[in-house]
Formats: sequence, structure tokens, C-alpha cells
Amino acid sequence: MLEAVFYVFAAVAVVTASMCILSRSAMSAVLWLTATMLSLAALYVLLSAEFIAAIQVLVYAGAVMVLFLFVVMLLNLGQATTDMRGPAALATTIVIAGLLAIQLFALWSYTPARLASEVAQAPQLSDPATLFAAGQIARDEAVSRGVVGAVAVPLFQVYLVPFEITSVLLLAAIVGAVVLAKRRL
Amino acid sequence: MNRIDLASPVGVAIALLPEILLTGWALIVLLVVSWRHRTAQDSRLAGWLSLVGLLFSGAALAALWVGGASPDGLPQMVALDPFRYGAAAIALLAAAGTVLISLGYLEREGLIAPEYYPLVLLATAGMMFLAGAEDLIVLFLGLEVMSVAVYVLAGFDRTDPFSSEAALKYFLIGAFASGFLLYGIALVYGAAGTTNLSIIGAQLSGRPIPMMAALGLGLLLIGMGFKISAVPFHMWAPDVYDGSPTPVSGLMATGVKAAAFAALVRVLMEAFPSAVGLWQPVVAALAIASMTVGNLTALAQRSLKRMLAYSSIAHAGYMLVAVWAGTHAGAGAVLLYLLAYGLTTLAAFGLLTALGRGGERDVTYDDIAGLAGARPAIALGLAVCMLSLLGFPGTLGFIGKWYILSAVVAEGQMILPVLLVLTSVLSAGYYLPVIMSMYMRPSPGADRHAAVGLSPTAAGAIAASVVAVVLLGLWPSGLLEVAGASARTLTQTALPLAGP
Repeated sequence: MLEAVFYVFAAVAVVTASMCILSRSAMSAVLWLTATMLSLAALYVLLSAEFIAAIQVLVYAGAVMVLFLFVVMLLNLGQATTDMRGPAALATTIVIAGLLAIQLFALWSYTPARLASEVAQAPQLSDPATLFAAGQIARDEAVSRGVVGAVAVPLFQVYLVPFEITSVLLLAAIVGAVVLAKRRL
Repeated sequence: MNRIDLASPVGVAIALLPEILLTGWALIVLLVVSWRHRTAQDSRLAGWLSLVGLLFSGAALAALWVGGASPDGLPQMVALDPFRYGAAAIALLAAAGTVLISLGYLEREGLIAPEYYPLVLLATAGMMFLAGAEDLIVLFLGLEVMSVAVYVLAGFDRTDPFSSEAALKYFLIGAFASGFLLYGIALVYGAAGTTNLSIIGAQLSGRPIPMMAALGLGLLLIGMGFKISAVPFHMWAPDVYDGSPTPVSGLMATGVKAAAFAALVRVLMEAFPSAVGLWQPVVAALAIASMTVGNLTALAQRSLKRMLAYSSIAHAGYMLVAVWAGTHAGAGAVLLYLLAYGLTTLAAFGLLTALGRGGERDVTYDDIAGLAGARPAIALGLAVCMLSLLGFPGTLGFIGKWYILSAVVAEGQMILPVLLVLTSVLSAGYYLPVIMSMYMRPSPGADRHAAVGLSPTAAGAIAASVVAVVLLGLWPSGLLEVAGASARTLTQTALPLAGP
């Protein structure tokens, strides 16, 4: 069952990512990318990384995409497309593709066993619990409520007021950017 | 006394009702202008709607103030004391005055973009958050909300290169200052383990100030110094005040300054009472530098708008003298002076909009020669403003300065009061020529002042401010009581914690 869900979202992610690259209009490319981000978030949930999934939706599918959309709208890109068929573009393509290929071949030599041994040999990072008094509290919270709860409770209870003021700040910034940058109000 | 539990959502909503109403109303105005923003009529509609929002917020503020709301337990995130209400009321008054002056101004200057008014509302909400911040995070966010909106307002005249220059300068310097502030907050958090002002005060009391907290305090002072335009962090102020649309300059000189000063006083008195030996010399140095440099440079100005910009630096110096005292009397003096300076300066910038066109950058002392004959009411208003800024007896400016002097002398300090009086005498050298030019010099031409005039709303707002400056200057006792009572509650909640 889980596997089926994974394949559905993985397929959606691959298809929407390809559509993002293939679409000729910048606006629809951004919208396809949003769909990719959302399906990636679903994959994170399947990996039981709920917090990363939530952040993925909030930050990437939400904030960053809104930013992209605003930039696209404010730049008034329209139908302009640049010609990417010159020799310079070809050379760049070959260089980037070559780098990616080298990376891929490097990954080839990695087996799960080798990865596990490297992680085991890596120097241990400092335990947050020994650094801060709050570190232990955070760890206990994460155990009792899950990662999302440990982040959500302070965010929406203790720091509710700053959280809400941040939204006002973003609104002021958006209105300000439109007022200053829009060619004709 | 109404106890409000700041840990519950309902308590937070009640405590922040003025800010919530204002922000919510700004959203409504934003919705309205998004489909009605073409004609001058739409712009006026947005302006009047904004005034209604300011009125609602003011009513909520008054209800909190009169109800004597106080926090149940430790104040969290936002303060609930008359000092906050007083500073927030000054910010609301400044915003209302700005809107009233802008109603006619924007139309005259061809700035038909009603987005102006929601931005003024958002800036005011930021000022109120800043003035009421009980936590360094809220302080920073309030400062940013206010600043971001004001950066845009400074550059609102997009066809005028000076306005764009003002916006860019203000933005870059403001971002730079925010960096200092944020770094300071981080260091203070590292030293105290909290961002709550009263808990920081409790954590730092009774032991030598850690190096990290001292560094953080220094960086906080630098960050706030930029916002209140104290020398040597004042370089941006003249160009920004000069280039911005004049009502926006008025808002910067009054509302922005009032909120930043309220936050500065609260941080120093609630979080760093134990480090008083550390920050008093710094504040004294800033005050001395601001008073002397501000006044001396103002003497050399020919343009009235630039003169007001430099005089605003000098007045920041006067208020820093009151901050230096570090006592309740000093905090009350800051609040009173903010009101006096705010009313007067807003009226002065408002009158400046009557005198010139296209940003009023080129209105000089010579241009207002003989104004008293042609436009007696405007000349009288400007004369009263100049006298109040000078600190002439019978005006609110005098009461403000006198209150600062008494607060500082009570602490046994003599150098600062003497310098304050001396530099005030010096300031007569640029305030009085305005009056002399209007009343004693002949008008250069018969119809020289024909174009001078104010819209009815601006005239009403300015007249009300001028009358208030005179009346409160003659009968200040009620106001003194309110200011004193407001300041006395400032550290009441923090003091029990500071004990063992």
C-alpha cells in the first residue's frame, strides 16, 4: 500500500518536474514547480520526516513560489524567449552535463555497506543536550510529541505574537514592492 | 484594575486589540483600493477609511488605558502599561495628522496611488508593536514592519529622483542598522538565555555584566541610534527627510521617532537597569553630540525642510538627555517631549506643504518673506511652531524642555542640562529668522504668496495641533500628571523579579 502511494507521488514529481522544464511560459513553469514541491513533501511524509514535509510546503511550495510568481509578474516577461542554440550555450551545456555525469559515476561506487561504515567513522557532532539546558528539553519534547509538535507548540503558543507580526511584515513588504516596482499602478 | 492573562490566546487578543484592529483595517483598506485605485476620489476614499481605522484603534487603546489593564503574572511579548499606551497614542496621532495632511497633498502633487494609506496604517501598526514590545523579538519585528512601510512611503513619488534617493538611502542605512540590532539581540540572548525584557533584567541583576551582554547592549544602542537619528548615526536623516514627500517626512520625524524612543527607554530601563553605569556615558555622549552637531548644522541651512531635518537631530539629542536620567521622571519627560515635539513638528511639516510645490525642497527663508501680510493664519501657525520648537514659555515645547531639565537635575547632573539650555539658545538662531522673515520683511512681489494654501483637512489638523501646543503649554498640569503616571508603571512589573 505504502509502496503504491510512493509510486504515485514519485510519478507526479517526475512528470511535473519535466513539465516545468519543458513549458515555454515562465508562469506555467512556476506553477508546475509548485506541484513538484508538493509531491516531494508527500514523499517526505512517507519517510516519516513530517517536519521537513511541513517546512517543504510552507517554505518552498508557499513562500519561495510566491516570490517566484511575483518576480515573474513584476518583470513582465511576456512572450520573450531567448535563443539558447548558440555555440556558447552548447559549451555550457556540455560542461554542466559532464560535471553531473562525473557526480553520478562517483555515486555508483557507493554501496549501502560503505555508506554505513563512513557514517560510523565520522566524528561525532556535539550532543545538543550537553550544550544547552534547552537542548534536553527539546529532545524530550521531540520524543513525546513528535518533531512537529516540538516545533509547533512554541511557534503557535509562546511565540504566537511574533509569528503573526511576521505575516504583517511580509504583507507590508509585498505591498511596498508592488508600489515601487509596478510600472503603472 | 483588569488583570489580563497574557498566556491565553484571548488575553493576547485583548492586549493587542489596538494593533489587531489597525492591521485588520489596513487589510480591508488594501482590499478596497485593489479595485478602486484610479481616480482622485478613490484616493480620498482610502484616506478617509484609514482615518476610521485609526479612530477604531485609538478607541481600543483608550479602553485599555482607562480600564487600567495590567498583566496577570509576567508580561509576555507585549507590555500592558500606560507607557505603552502613551507612546502608541502619539504614534496614532502622528498617523492621523499625516493622513489628514496627505489627503490634499497627494492630489496636488499628482500622486494618485491609494496604496499610500494602507502603508501608513501598516507603518503605524509597526510603531505600536515597537512601542509596546516586551520582548526583543517583538521589538525587532515591530521595527521592521514600521521601517519597511516607511521606506516605501519615502520613495512614494516615483517620478522624483530625490524621493527615490531618499527611499534607497533610508532602506540601505535601515538594513545596516537592523543588522546591528539583530546581532545585539543575539548576543543579549546568549548572555541572558531569554529575549523577554524583564527576565533579561532579572538575569543580569546582582552580578557583574557579562562581556557578551555588554557587547549586545552596545550593538542595540547603535541600532536604535540609527532609528532615532542621533549623532553620529544621523548621516541619512537630512537627505531622507529632504527627499521624501513632506507628509512622510512629518511621519518620520514624529511617529517613527516616538516609537523608537519608547522602545529605547523600555529596553534600557527594564532589561539593563543593572548596567546603568555602562550605558549612561554612551547615552550622554550621543546626547551631547546630537545637540551640538544638530543645532550647529541647522544654523547653516537655507532650505526650511533641511533646517527641520537637522533640528529633528537636535531634538533627538534633547530627548536622549532625558533617557540618560534612567528614572521614571526621565521616562515621563521623554513621553511628554515626544508629544510636544510630535504635535509641533507635524504642524510645521504640514505648513511647509502649503508653502511649496514638488516636494518643498526649495522653500528657503527668503521665500516666506512677508507671508504674514498675505496669509496671516499660516504665518501665525508657523510662528507658534517655531516658538514651540525653540522652547519658548507658553508653548508645549517649553514644558517639555523644562520637564527634561528637572528630571536630569534631580539626578545631580549639571553638564547635560547646561548644554541643553545653551544649544537651545543657539537654536534661536535658525527658528527666529523664520518668524522675522514672515513678519518683518517685505514681500518680494504682490502675488508672491498667491499659491500658498492648504486643503481644508490639512488646515483643520494643523490648526488643532497648533491650538493644542498653545493650550497644553499654558495649562500643562493634567498632561504632566498623565506623563508622570505613565512612566511610574514602566518597571513595576520588572522590579519584583530583580530581587533575590
